[in-house]
Amino acid sequence: MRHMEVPTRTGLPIAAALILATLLAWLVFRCIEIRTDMADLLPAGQTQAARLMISEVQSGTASSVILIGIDQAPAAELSRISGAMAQALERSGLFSAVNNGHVGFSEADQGFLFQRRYLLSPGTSEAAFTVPALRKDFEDVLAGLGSSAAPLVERFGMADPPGVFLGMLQKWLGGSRIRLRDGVWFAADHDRALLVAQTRATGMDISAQDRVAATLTATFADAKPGSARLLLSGPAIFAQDAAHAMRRDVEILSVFSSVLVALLLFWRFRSLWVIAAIGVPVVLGIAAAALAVQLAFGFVHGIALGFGMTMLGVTVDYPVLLIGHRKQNEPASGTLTRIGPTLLLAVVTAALGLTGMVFSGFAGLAQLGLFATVGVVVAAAATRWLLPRLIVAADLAPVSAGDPARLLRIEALRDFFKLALLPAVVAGIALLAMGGPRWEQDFSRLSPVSEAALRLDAELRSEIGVPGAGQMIFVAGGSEEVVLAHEERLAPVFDRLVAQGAMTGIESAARFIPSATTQLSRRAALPDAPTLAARIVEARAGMPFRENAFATFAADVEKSRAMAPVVPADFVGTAIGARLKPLLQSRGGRWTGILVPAGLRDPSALAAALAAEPDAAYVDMRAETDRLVAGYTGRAWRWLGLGGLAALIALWVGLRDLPRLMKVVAAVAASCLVTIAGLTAAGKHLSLIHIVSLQLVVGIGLDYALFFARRQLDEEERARTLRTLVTCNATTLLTFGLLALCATPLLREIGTTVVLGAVSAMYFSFVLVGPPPGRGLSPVAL
Amino acid sequence: MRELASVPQRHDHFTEEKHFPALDQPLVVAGELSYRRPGLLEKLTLQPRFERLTIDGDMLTLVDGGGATRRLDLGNQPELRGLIDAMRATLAGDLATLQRSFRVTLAGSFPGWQLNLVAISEVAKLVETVRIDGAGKEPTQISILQANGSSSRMVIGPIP
Repeated sequence: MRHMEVPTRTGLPIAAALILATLLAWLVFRCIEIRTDMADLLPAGQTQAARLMISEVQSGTASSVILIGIDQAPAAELSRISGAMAQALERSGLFSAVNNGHVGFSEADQGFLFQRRYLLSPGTSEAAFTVPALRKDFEDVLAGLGSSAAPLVERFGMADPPGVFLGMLQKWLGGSRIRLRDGVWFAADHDRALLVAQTRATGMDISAQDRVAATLTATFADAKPGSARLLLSGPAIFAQDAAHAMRRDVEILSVFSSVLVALLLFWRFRSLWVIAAIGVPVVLGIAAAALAVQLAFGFVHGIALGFGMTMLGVTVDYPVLLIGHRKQNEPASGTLTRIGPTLLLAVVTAALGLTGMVFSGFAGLAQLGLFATVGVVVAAAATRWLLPRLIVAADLAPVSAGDPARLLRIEALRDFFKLALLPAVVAGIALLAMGGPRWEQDFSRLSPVSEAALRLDAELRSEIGVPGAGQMIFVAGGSEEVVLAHEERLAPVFDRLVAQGAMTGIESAARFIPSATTQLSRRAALPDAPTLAARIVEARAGMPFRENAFATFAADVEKSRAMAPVVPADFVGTAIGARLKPLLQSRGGRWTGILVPAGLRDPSALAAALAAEPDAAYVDMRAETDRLVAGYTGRAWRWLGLGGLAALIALWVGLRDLPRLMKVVAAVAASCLVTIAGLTAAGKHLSLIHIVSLQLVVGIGLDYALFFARRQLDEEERARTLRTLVTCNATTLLTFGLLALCATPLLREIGTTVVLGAVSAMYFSFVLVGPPPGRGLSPVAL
Repeated sequence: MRELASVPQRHDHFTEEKHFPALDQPLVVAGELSYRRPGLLEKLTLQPRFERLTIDGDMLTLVDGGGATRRLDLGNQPELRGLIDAMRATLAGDLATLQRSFRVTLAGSFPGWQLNLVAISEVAKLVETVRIDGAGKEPTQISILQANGSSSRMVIGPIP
């Protein structure tokens, strides 16, 4: 690389390198798998409850439920649209279930359940088949026949005088407050037709959910909705909306900021080749980063990608620093001699700082950390080893180093060194006065789902009576039978809580299907045929029943006595089966029962009642997520601290000069302090997003501080450094300033933090780290 | 039908004789029947046991002697709704609603008339035929033959 001076200027190698780099990036982006679900960002759980929760969030059936509301039209119109949509959705084949009004069970389901009523119903007991009990039942049947409910009594009462079947159905169907109009579900107190659909694909399968969403809107349009409005909600819809909003923002922003940054660089260097040359390491860095994450994790999360690309925006600084410091006609080795060691130190410290994230244990942060580290290192390596040949070949350099006299005037600011620290002191005092930074405890705020969308979801859920996935109880066991038996043992606990008003009910597998043990004990309670026949005769004495009035009843009891216990597999394909599926799941040979409380008013009473039950784990999904995130946020801070320490050691090794080290650290720390104080003053709660953004601020601040801290050779070189760093600062402000204006809250937070941080880092690095005027002429170049 | 439709509200006595295949003798109940246009029908049973059946629009409410209340939305029960319409729509003089669930024929001549309803559509699962006898503006007897072989005959007259 030494003496590479070429007689003619040519940008061709730059063009070739940029094309190759872009091609490589394109290839990488075609190969990587991009996922967009927030659940993928969650860390691996430490506790059993957390692990269960995470697997439920990631692949549970709850994630594939879509809630649909249709309103803002006359009720008759709404029920017509609801019917048309339900039919079309059913036909589409994308849904495993579409429901818009049929409550209860199909006739086939009813027949199936009726046949097995004496095994399934809690009404079966020895006492229920004694003569006095039967006599009471027969009297009720007789009274029922005389009443207006006669059709019902004839249908079920004659074959089931103890009433175990209706008792069972009532228990199953209870709790729903939905209104029916023309056989279609409506909200209880206003005209809104309601539907529930369950997609075949999981809610996390974004491309499948894209098709689902398209089908939903298309069927709505086909139903000629007129003035009616379609409301959609559910985890799958959230995930999709978030992914799209983010993609839109990132696309618009990246185009805008690339154009602005390119314009700025063109104005600064007056050469399109410079822009192309700067693009080479940046593009290579992003491609390598995405590839590394894909290889390490098996997929790239959309958010890690979005954040990561933004973070790698700062790698523009490396080529800018190289080209900005080149003197006209200087061989590559010359520029590298002056800035190489500083660049190396800046990159090593930045990379060490970022590696902290890799070990945070938080999948999202780890991906981002790896992405940023690899990107920074590769971009820097490309700047160090690839770029010099290219820029020398094209003879790229800044137009001029600027007027040193003006520089001296600006540097005079450093005379007010002590005053310059004032902002940091003010920020520190203000921060103390505000009681320190506030921490974000609510993980859901990290989610890109809007408040309005969450409100709509809660509204539709309560109207339809679908329990939210907010609180769950997990019961684990080696077989379905064990899980069902556990759940049966817990039933009295829940009954007590319902009686106390802590909740209105509980959805559980055992509610629909008793354990085989229970079914067998019920079977054993049934009298044999001669005994029952004799008891029936005795019980109906003196009543107007004909001799064969209860023949079906007696025959059904006898059939039940030989019946094998019903197992969950028997329900496959029935309405009960569909309700059982999410409640009883198997993973790797282990069975998990999931119980969902309905109308939960007192979560602490439920938690307390279950604390004493060793087989059941109560999980408040939201509290658990928050706790999880809080734990990992703490851990992330510790790793960041370690990363910072490693960076500090690297700085010491690189600088070997305590006063200069102190100045560099002071500048970076002061800019972080001002940033945190600024955010806190603006009422922000600090979260993982800010931690990540502060990392970026530290990286940027180190770049500035280290370059100012060099023992500059002369005024001309100092002017070059100042101008180059101002250029770097301006590109950063352009990129992140745009982020601060965008719609996705997540990106806005990053933008604000980095803009604040970059401005203060520039300021503090300039006034604190740069040599005071007149004393910067040390002949030793670092 | 138009004659029937001209009566805004009624309040009558009834005696109903119910025959079931499972019983060797009929059950007899008696009480009062009220109707108010357009959709309110109330059957108040006083003998042998108190019971109040109210149908208001699509909402059926059944209160028994012990005060226990059961509600049912007829929107989800087309068979039952058809059976109730046989009575309510006749009182309302609403032929269109009747024809949704029944094939309707009229026999006899004014003032004595006989309305014969043969169940079609979903209501046929529950009911085979309904016959309503009347004189002038007053229905006097409603006979129902159910699909399962049970039958009932309700005689309607002024409150004594």
